Amino acid sequence: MKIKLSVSEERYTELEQLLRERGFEISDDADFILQERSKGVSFLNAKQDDELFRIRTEDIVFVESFGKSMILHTMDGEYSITERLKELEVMLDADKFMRISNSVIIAKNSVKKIKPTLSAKFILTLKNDAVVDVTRSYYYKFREIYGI
Amino acid sequence: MAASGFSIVLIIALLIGSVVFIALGTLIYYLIYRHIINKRIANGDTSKKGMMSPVWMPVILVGLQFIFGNPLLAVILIPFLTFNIVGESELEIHESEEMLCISVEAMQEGHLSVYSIEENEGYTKQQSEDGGIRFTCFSAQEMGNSWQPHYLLYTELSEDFPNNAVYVIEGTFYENGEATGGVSWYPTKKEFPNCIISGMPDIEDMDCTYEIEITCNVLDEKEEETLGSFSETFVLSTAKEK
Repeated sequence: MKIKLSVSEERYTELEQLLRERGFEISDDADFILQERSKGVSFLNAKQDDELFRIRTEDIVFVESFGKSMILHTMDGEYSITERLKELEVMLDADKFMRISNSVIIAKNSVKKIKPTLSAKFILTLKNDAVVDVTRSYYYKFREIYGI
Repeated sequence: MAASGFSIVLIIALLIGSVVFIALGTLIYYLIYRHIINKRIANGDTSKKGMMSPVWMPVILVGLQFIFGNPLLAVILIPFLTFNIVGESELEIHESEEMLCISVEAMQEGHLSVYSIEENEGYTKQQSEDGGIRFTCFSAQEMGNSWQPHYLLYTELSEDFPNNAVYVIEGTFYENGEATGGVSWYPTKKEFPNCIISGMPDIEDMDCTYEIEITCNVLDEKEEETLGSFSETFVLSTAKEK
């Protein structure tokens, strides 16, 4: 039986060994996910050119949904992941990440510049110079969180 | 009819001024807002209270504009703009007191309101009609104080007078038969159908025969063809026998 682990790094090795001993196979494309409840995962499994990487969540700048694909952006490059935005909202630490639109989740500390508009939106420049929009639906929450 | 009104230029100036004020105010607030929020982001300071969004600034400025801005703009702009007084003649108006040409409505609003176009006590009434124009002239029987007009000449256009015709009226003053000066005016039915000419000619010798000869030429709209003309002399005062 295949299981995907979404737990903090400290618990990952222990749980992986425990599950393998009981006959479970750890795989990212498993139908079942074992997820740690508390503060969010410490890393995500991602792919780049068919090569698998483990990306630390503190290295994530933002994640965007692009059609059926999910792209994870770091300062080093882009990676594809399998989790959907709704899953990531649960998995990632809510104190460190926030959703700003229907297709983007950003790391709160990745905002370099904010450009307000007259139409209840913000245009953000992130630390990797990517430009993303805070849409109207998330406008007030964004203002509340950032105190602006 | 009101004696005065604001010109369309003032209204346009107020509108443009309002738009400029609101746009400028919104821009300035937006730039300040953007600067402050980016400073907070750079400092990582999220504890302060949020600022008002620039979206609301135009709304606030519109309110302020109506309460304070428009009256202030009007006070500033009015001295630089010309008032268009309804009834003020666009005809040749002499700056001296020899002749004042105004509409009947303006006459009833101004210092001539004590006079009538029907009868005036102390004035001799004379009438003449020709070519669709009727002249009624009131000449003072005695020279009163310096504010009393020596004559009032009322012109009326008949209903069937051509709408687009221009008529040129020239008046020549005669003192004891000698021409002493002249006036002219060019009213049209559309702009200025009926008008009052009043005057206090600068007569050195009040003991003289003073007349005004009115010559009227009616021209077409292009002022190329004369549709008609006539002439009439009104006696304004008569020399007293010595």
